[in-house]
Amino acid sequence: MTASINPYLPILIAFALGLLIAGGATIASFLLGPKKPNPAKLDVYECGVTPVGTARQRLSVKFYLTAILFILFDIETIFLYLWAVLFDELKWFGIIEVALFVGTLIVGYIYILRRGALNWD
Amino acid sequence: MDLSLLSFIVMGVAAVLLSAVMITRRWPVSAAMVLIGVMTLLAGMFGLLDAHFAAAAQIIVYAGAIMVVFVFVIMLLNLPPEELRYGGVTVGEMILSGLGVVVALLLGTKVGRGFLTTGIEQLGLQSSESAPHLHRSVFAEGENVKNVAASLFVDYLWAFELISFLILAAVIGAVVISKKKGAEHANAA
Amino acid sequence: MDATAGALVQFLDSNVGLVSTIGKIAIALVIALQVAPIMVWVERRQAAFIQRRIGPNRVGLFGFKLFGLGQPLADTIKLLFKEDFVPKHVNRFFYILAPIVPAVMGLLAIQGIPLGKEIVVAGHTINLQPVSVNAGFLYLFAMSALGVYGVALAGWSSNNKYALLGGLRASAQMISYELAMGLALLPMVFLYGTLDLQGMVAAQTDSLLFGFLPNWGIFLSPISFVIFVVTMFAETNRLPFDLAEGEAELVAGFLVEYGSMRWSLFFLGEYAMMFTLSALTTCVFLGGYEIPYLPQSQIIAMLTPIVSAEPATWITALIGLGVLIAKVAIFMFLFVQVRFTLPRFRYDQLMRVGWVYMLPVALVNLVVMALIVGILRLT
Repeated sequence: MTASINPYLPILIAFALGLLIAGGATIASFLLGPKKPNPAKLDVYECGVTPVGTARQRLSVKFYLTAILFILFDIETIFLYLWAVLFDELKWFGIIEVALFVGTLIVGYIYILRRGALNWD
Repeated sequence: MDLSLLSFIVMGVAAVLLSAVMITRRWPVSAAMVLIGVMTLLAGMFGLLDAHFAAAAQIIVYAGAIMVVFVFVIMLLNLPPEELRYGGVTVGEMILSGLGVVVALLLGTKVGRGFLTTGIEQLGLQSSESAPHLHRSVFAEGENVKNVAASLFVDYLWAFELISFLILAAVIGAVVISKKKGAEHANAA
Repeated sequence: MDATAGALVQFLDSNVGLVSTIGKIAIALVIALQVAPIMVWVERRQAAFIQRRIGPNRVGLFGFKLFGLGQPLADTIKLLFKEDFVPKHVNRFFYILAPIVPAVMGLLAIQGIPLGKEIVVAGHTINLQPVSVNAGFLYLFAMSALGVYGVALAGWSSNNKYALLGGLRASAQMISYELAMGLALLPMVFLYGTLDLQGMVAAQTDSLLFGFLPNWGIFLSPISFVIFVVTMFAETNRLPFDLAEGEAELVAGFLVEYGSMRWSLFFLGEYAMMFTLSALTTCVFLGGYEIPYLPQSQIIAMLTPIVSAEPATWITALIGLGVLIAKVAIFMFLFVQVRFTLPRFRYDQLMRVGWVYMLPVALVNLVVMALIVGILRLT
């Protein structure tokens, strides 16, 4: 006889326990450590010299591009996972179907490769 | 009342509350984090509704990719909250948000759903006998992931192929936007 | 006394699912929490041997030096008692939250690993995988996808431009390699026909390849294995991909404003992720907890005449757990070996490898494997 509980219950229990452990470590450290604040310790760290400029500077747009391209290829991967579980059932029909899908995306990939969107980052 | 129903209700209420919390945050990063929490709760609710693939995909794609874009953009721009002060509501915005509330209420009631979304009742909420045009209902016996896959690749074949073109358009759009002359604010590599 | 014992047995019997789940999660958590201290010791000793020195060997318990195994214990105690400061300029809530995210996600991800096949206790068969969802190992990907935020938040909340840059770069690196990782495992899904890790381990012990090789993923699709191992290094921010936390550049990158226990929580998460991904690799490519040529069913059959049926499953499960940990240990050793052998990639080189080399290779591998398997199986 196998026991059956909702499969998501272990995730909930594990999350609660994990939070307990990580939070407990943080709290324990807070309670157990000495408290001796001084300005040098609490200041921004910049290799020991006084900081130059604020942290409010604009950064490159390459991060945005990387993230957007990640989403699009991630979505493709998810669809491919759907196809992969049904590989045997869908047989060649499925392979051709997915080949068209991946083909279109490879066209997109070649485009971004030649456009230089994947460079210097 | 068993644990599943209780968890579902708790998650639902928490998701609605967190959404309200999200729009009142001072820091955009806080709002993004709260939204990630909402997405995770939604994924949990999908799981409790036996839509296991949707639950996994919600976290991997929505909370793990789309929200990453949100967070990256917010951190890229690095704007302090003072610069994000809202300049006041215009009449147009008030009308649009009112319309949004109306649509939300409609979607929440059965009448509204019937009016706005005919056909959704047949999408997998019944067995294959009553919806014979579906190769396999997503809630049929067996693994949810396989059922979703069967539904996608057999019944919604054209939609699936069109998705690839949608993604291609998005790829090209993203590159064009970020590569416009002068769009590079490269202070650091 | 008898009545309470009877009531306890009654309670356990009717709540087997819940009790066994808590037990499995507890075991997985204990393993995860031991990985960090043991790996710290392994790293320092192995680094020392590679660099022709000895490494820590003085800290001991009660006079027993034990090759310096007391070092991690001493380190943990020291970190607990160090001053836990919150710098003035940080975003307080997220500064405190940021280390908890990768730690919790690492501890959650390890729950998806099958620790063994199953044990039989008092007539109940218990599957030894703490989290067994329909989506299979997609659960692991989901947890690692969420772990990215810990790094980004740490960098942003530190209000330090180097930390922010380091955090963004580390996050961008992690998501870039997540793609190749997912694509590398795809051929294994249609090779074994399932997303479930227990199913994959079972499929690998079913038959023999070419009559003499175990049906392991590494023989069926070696390129997938190579891609996955390389992306594993990048996902866990380990050398040669550890620019984001590299000590020579950007100081400690996104970690620069963190000290004491918060810093160690990041590393708890990192080591837990290393363990989890190594375990995933063994389950998909190296047959998991099964000994090659000696499946667990055979071991149980051999042991049942000696001890009775149920203890046979317990002993077999222990053996399986030992085998799994031994295989994972190979990868952990590899992690450390590579760390002290290869030089570090520059960031643009790193991203280039991820997008221009790993991704197309993974895609081509997928297409080729699909064609091969299609021809072999469907004609």
